[in-house]
Amino acid sequence: MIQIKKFILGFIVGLFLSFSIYFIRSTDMKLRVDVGRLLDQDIVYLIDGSFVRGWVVREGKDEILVETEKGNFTLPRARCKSIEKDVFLRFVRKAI
Amino acid sequence: MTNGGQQKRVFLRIPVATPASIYLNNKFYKKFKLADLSTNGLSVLTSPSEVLPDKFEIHFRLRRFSRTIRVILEVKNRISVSEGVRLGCVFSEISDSDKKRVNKYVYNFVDISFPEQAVNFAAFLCVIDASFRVLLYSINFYYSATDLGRSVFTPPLSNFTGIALIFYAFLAFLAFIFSSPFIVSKGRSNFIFSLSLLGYALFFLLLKNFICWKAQLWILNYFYTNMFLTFQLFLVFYLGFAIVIGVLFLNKITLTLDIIKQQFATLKFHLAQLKFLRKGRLGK
Repeated sequence: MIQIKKFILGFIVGLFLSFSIYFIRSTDMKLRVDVGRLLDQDIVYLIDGSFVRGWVVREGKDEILVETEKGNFTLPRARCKSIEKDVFLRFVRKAI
Repeated sequence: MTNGGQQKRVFLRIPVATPASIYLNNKFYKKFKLADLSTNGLSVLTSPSEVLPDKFEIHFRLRRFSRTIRVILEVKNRISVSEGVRLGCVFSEISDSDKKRVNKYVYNFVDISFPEQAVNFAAFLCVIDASFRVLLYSINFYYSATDLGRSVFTPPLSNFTGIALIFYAFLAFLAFIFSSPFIVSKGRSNFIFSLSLLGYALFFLLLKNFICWKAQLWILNYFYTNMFLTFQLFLVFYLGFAIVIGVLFLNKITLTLDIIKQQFATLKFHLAQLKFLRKGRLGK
């Protein structure tokens, strides 16, 4: 049993370590940009209870420009209840 | 243990303070106290004036309300101790069911695998949790340092968070090593040390759970974030359970390790004696 635990532990720690090294050393910027964008994701909560996940590009007095994976669109400020920024980054920072 | 080509078996003896009734010629003779019990025999404490034959019947119970065990014993040695005379006996005639019950009782008495495994598994989970947190910390550190991505509104992490996390990871790893059965068998202090290390881990995780609850992170309602938070909550409960089990079984662990250590020392002494005798014989 203890041997299996050591093996699993070695495997998981090794996996995390190799991912960290790959992440830092990789010349491919796409992964880093993707992770960065994921961490930077915002949530716009609407008055009707629904929400929009994306990236707030511009916050105007009357409207908010949100970039989502389906495209950009403008939301009237009156329909928005609140905006939560960098949700995953906030999660990571609180969790660790 | 070998003795001039003959093999002498060594049985682990456990202390018992059970009263036992001795029967001579199928008639009740007297009550005595058992001193210790092994899977091969037992020892009885008698007064110095008492003379018992080399073979006699004995009845005793392993627990207060358990079935009476009936055995015919053969006395192998009589040693004077401070409480009287200790008769070392082997089971001469014993039924299979009684033998099984004695074996099970002795095995259960010295079995400390349950608290050992509970604490070791808790430390194992903590190491996995710590390595995942370190990974998240390094990702966060990378984005804070390179400013990659977009505007960040969340305040950066303090140095204290990083130090506390590294400390947690280090202590969890140490606890995993010190709670492994091989290290625990070296002494109970190792087990206590791993328990105290897990105490810090529990405090750290309680604090993290409190921070996550205060920051209302459950609201995110993503599968992976919820999975992480659930695991974190489970870890607190399991860690608490393992620490409580470890503390409750501390006396048993101490007693078992003492028995093993004491009898191992006796065995080592006998082996050294045999080696000395053999050398003497070879010299002649």
